[in-house]
Amino acid sequence: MASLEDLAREVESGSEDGVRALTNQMIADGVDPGAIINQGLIAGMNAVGVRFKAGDMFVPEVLMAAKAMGSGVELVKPLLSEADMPAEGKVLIGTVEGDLHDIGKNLVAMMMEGVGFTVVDLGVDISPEDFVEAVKLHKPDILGMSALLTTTMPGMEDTIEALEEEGLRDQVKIIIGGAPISQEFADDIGADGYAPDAASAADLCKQLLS
Amino acid sequence: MVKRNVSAGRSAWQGFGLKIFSDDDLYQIHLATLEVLEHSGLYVQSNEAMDIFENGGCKVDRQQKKVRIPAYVVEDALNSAPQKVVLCGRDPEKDLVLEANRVNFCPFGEGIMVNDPETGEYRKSTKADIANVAKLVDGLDEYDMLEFTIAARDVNPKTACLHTYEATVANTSKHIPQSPDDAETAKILIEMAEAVAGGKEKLQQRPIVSGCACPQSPLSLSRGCCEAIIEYARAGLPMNVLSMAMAGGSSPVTLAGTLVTHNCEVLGGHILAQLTRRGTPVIYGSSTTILDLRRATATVGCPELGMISAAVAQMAQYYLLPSYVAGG
Repeated sequence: MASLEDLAREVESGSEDGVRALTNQMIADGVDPGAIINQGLIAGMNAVGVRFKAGDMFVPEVLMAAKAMGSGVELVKPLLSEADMPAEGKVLIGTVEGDLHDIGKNLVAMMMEGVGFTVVDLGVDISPEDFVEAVKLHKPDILGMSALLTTTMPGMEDTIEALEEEGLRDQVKIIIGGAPISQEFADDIGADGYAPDAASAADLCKQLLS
Repeated sequence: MVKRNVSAGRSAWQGFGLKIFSDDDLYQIHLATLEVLEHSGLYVQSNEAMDIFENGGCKVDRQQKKVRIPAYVVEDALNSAPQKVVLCGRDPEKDLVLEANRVNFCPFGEGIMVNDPETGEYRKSTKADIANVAKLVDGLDEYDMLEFTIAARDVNPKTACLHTYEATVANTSKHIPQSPDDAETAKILIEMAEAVAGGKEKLQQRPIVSGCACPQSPLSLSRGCCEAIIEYARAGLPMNVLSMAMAGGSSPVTLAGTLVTHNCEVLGGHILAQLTRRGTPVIYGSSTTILDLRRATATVGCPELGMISAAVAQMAQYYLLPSYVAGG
């Protein structure tokens, strides 16, 4: 009988067929759905994150692994109620106003989902007001903001101020990222964290909520 | 001494060139471009631009902000765009003619950090750095025009492009491309150039500035990009529509596929310019490269950049347009 480690390996190798086959087998064998997700699927993506960070896995391989993991989650989901779905936390993410760039943000969202966060992706060109409304609606644990341009970065500070004005700042941890962003900028504007890449971002989120 | 007289009627290859495609290949890329523009269309974030495209015969979906461009509109724009673009310097000795195969050089970048030339400190780039780069470029004969290299990070980001022009025009008499963020900064930049040139007409006759606007891959023209293209077209100033697709990231991983989407983006910008003011000068620009698939970052020193730049230059020559490509 295949083990949860085997399932994690299938995720790591990006095999959608392999993941589906093993997941179905485990479901049929009565393996605990939560364990399938945590020790099988998420464990696989955790390993992917480590290797990606080390430059040992390439972006397309990470995307394939995420896709394989997702197909496993889809099979297990109907067996678990919303409350029982394992989740590290909820992350709201978006690119700031005036900025349409999203490749980095998309990779971060994917990595976070992979390691077990629930991610709500708002998309691009999100104004401070829209971020505030989204925080009110989704009540995330973490708000992530992305920017590529030096001219749109200030939107991050504006959003933090808008959250302060609404009395929401304390309810959410704020992390930022993007090409012109730095730890120094994060400190200047009062963000809770900065990460230089997708894998580090996922680790940072875990740290902030632990 | 043996005589070796001049050959008559002999064709020769001048200079050095890298030919990647045959004309038939370029035609295939052109046909694929027409198909994408007509059926997939471009995402256009500006209402005014959508109006202009619609009045020019394009199909516009306002809700999706999608513009679909029929083939004849593309061909018209390619025909009306001038084949020769003259970029002027404050000093007429520094004027440049851009045509087909002529090669010119300029620096280019979007640097945000510098190694301080005096202390060696690794720090944020400043307005003073921009002024120094302009002085350096002014003194080096091999540079034909300026183009920006770094961002002024010690000024308000919303007016940074204006500060950049102030710092550069004061330190070089070569041609200076400007980089507006939107309609407002475009209008102010043009006004500044008019003040330097001695008036609107003088600036049009001798364009000492040109614009640079960047579509976003894949297949998108942001509001700021549209507004910049429209303003420079209205002012009759040359506009470099420059796309930076990353093969494997924001365009197909294949060279040919990337050329097609890149082509759609640049031509989309050119068409907007021609529909705004027929005959306005445009330049076919590229910083297109590959996405480093290990680090998920754009690499601008890789061999593929050279290949893509050579291919883009050929594409522009196919269209009889001046080109501007990344050298690395």
